[in-house]
Amino acid sequence: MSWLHKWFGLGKREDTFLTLKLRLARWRHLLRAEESCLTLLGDIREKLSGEYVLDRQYILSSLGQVFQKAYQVAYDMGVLCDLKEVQMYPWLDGLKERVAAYLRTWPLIKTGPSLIPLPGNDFVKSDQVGEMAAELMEMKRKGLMDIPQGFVITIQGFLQLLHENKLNGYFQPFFSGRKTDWREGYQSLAQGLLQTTIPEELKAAIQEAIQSLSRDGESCPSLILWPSPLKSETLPGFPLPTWTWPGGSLDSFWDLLRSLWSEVYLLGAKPAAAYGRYPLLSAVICQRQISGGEGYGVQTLDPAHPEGGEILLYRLADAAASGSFNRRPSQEIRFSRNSVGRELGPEPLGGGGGNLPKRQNLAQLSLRMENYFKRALEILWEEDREGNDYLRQLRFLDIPLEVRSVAAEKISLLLKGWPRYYSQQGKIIFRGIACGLAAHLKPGQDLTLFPEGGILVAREWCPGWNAIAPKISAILMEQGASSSLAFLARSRRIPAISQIPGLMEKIPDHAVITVDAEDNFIYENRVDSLLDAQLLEGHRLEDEPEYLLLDGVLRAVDHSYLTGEGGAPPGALEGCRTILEGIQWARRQAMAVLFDPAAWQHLVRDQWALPVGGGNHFSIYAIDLDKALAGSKPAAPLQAAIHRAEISSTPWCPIWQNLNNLPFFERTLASQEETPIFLIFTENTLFLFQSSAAGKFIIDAAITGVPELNHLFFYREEGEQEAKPGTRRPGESRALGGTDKTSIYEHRSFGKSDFDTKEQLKRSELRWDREHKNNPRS
Amino acid sequence: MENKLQILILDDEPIVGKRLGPALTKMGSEVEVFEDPHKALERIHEKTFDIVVTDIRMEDIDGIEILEHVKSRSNHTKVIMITGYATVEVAREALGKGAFDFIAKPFKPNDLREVIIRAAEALGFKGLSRTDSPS
Repeated sequence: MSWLHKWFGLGKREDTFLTLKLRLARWRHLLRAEESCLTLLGDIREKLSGEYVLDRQYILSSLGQVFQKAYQVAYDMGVLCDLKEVQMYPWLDGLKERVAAYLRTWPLIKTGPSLIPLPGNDFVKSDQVGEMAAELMEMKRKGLMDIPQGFVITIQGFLQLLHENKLNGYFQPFFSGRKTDWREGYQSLAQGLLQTTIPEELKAAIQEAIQSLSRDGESCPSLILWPSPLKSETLPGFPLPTWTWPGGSLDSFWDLLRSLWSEVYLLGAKPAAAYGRYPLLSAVICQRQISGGEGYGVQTLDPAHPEGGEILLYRLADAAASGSFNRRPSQEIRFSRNSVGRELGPEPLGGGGGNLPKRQNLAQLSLRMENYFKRALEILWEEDREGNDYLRQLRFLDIPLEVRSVAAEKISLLLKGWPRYYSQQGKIIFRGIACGLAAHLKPGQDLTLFPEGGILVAREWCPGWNAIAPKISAILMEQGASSSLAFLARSRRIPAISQIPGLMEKIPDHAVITVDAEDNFIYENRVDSLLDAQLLEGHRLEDEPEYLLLDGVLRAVDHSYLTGEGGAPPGALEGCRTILEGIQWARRQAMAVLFDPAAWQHLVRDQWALPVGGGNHFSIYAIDLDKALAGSKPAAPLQAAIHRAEISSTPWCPIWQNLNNLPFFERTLASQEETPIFLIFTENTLFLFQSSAAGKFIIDAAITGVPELNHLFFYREEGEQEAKPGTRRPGESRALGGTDKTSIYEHRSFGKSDFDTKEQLKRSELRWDREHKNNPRS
Repeated sequence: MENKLQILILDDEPIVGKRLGPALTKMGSEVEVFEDPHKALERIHEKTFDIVVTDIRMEDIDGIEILEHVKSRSNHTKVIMITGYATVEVAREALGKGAFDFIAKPFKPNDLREVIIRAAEALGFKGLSRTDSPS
């Protein structure tokens, strides 16, 4: 009752009413402040839910007023309750800080073609920013990890720089048809980049972005260098993949950018399996510098002993001291993969203390990411002074070949006698390995019953099943695949096999099975070793849809591809006698196969590509991406291969000769508007097939397993009422894509063979240019 | 006089242009949206707009300067000021320098449309739609 006495000022008579009066006034003040606060919040709510035009300033000022009133309420409460410490203050402080932190994440950077903020609202411009930024955003989208604020200087921004500095001219000698010294040309380009004037628009955008990142008083952004797979040594002057700009004059920043571009502009290629794109140009990422805390690197497997089942964690400071992230740091912590909480020897970092929960958390997060990519990863984490962890970099872990070979041999022995349902029957849609419960599905069935991580087993694909894609670990189809299934499997990285005979009868519902869509086996029960082996695989050429493109094309046009007979004269490319051998030779150097028509048209248009051959229907270009770009001498066989006059003696010659003979390509497709398909066969040489709708069709055919390319397409000539199918049998048509000028259809004949779709899809017109257009670079 | 009302919107907050542009276009006007006051000024020197809607507080150049530039080019153009800092002093200065009207953020697009219609009627335009007209 003491507070009541105090409240009413019961005590001395002359004080009673004064105290009561004061308290009532204070109480009234509190209530008014509370009412104002609630009114403000209601007003904000109304403005946000209504059709109002408001700006950031309104939000900031309104929220400021809300907090002002809230603090007032807290103060009044403290006075009324005679509290020495008002608990509301720290709570309000914390809330205010969280609100401020949230407001800071609003993209202050104006988006445009030159810069894209990190993290963006909807990172749809992954084709402009390259793999690393795209991977970072993918991690954020998946909710796996946050990334620090920053921005990406896009490929488009870099191209603007080249254009305005007239650097494209350095490529001119390569298109004259004469033998030329590639090294000299690219050295000139590298030198030119060091002296570029950065376009004012790009400069202004970068300046604004840097200022916005520094607005909260933190240090200036760090610059992430695009890791080049071609360089084994670190860049001169930049011993670490990230470099922190110390602030100060922006002149030093411009110099840094120029050096970066000069060094890595064409060496930044790295397979982006998740996106099917291979940006050749570096995308520079500047991120808010994360400072104040510890930084860690995590390798989800010990690359030297992957069978040990350990996660390695090291401090970034130690790695920096050792000079490179590619070398093992001197100190590391090991966690058990099976029980991430269990920390193994040697002595934990920091002498037995340190932040164990933090390290466990990072190890667990890293495993989640590994599960997504299905590959062992090396991930760099940084911590800010509030203890928040940020993902700085992610890449596939480089497992030595000898280690992988040993593991492969063990697996091979293990699987020899393992019971299996199917052996190399069916068509692989997307590669990968998965274990789970087989779940039979029919159209119209209740999808909520599908088990988490289940393997979808069905007679044919139903597009409605896209809804349960997050739960699916693998897909098995009895009948042929559709494009929609192919796209789903590729985009979500779900192993899938189609055209498996008798699937529904052979694999029992709810049986535990292992799907090996790498080598095309379906095993009984769970084969853990296979899952473990998958982690060791790096990027494989066969993983990429683009490789399937090549595979499909070659099956159609090169008879020696399957038989191993015939082919080019020996000695053309290190003794390759067939295209298959040529591909295998290329794969020993190969990094990836590239297919990105939309993004790389400019390379042909801007004449970065050297024409090396072609006939009526295809143009072949080559770009030397050798280390000559950075000043090194290219390999001699490749140097010979890219010269136009000599290309006919290489194994690649039959490709375009046979392509010209396909009935599909009776019309010339070469035009300025066509989009090329790019194939990288080596690190150094990029061979380009120029086509448009054909490419889309071929890729579809290769992935979805449409047989006999030359019987399943048709075209319509201008003015014709009906299409001329490749076959006269009745059937149905499916538009596969194309450009404004040309479209291509797949025609399936009704009959005994299984089709992936029974619906009549929309028709579009197919028009082909009748006139042959000369190869502009002939 | 052109058939369609020519409107320029200037606000350094992208969201404002994104909301107002379509809303005013649906009235039957031709709208150009700018975030950069320098670029907006360049455009104002190239073309005479019927109505200029500008924010008051912007970096580098503020709305009052824009108002002065517009009035020096064309007394005919009606300038409407929008601002998140609604004070009597700001209103007095803007109206004193020839602004047609003054609207405070946050506002509904319809509120601005009413002001635009009044400005258009003052210019002699008739028949502007007060609601969304079919495109």
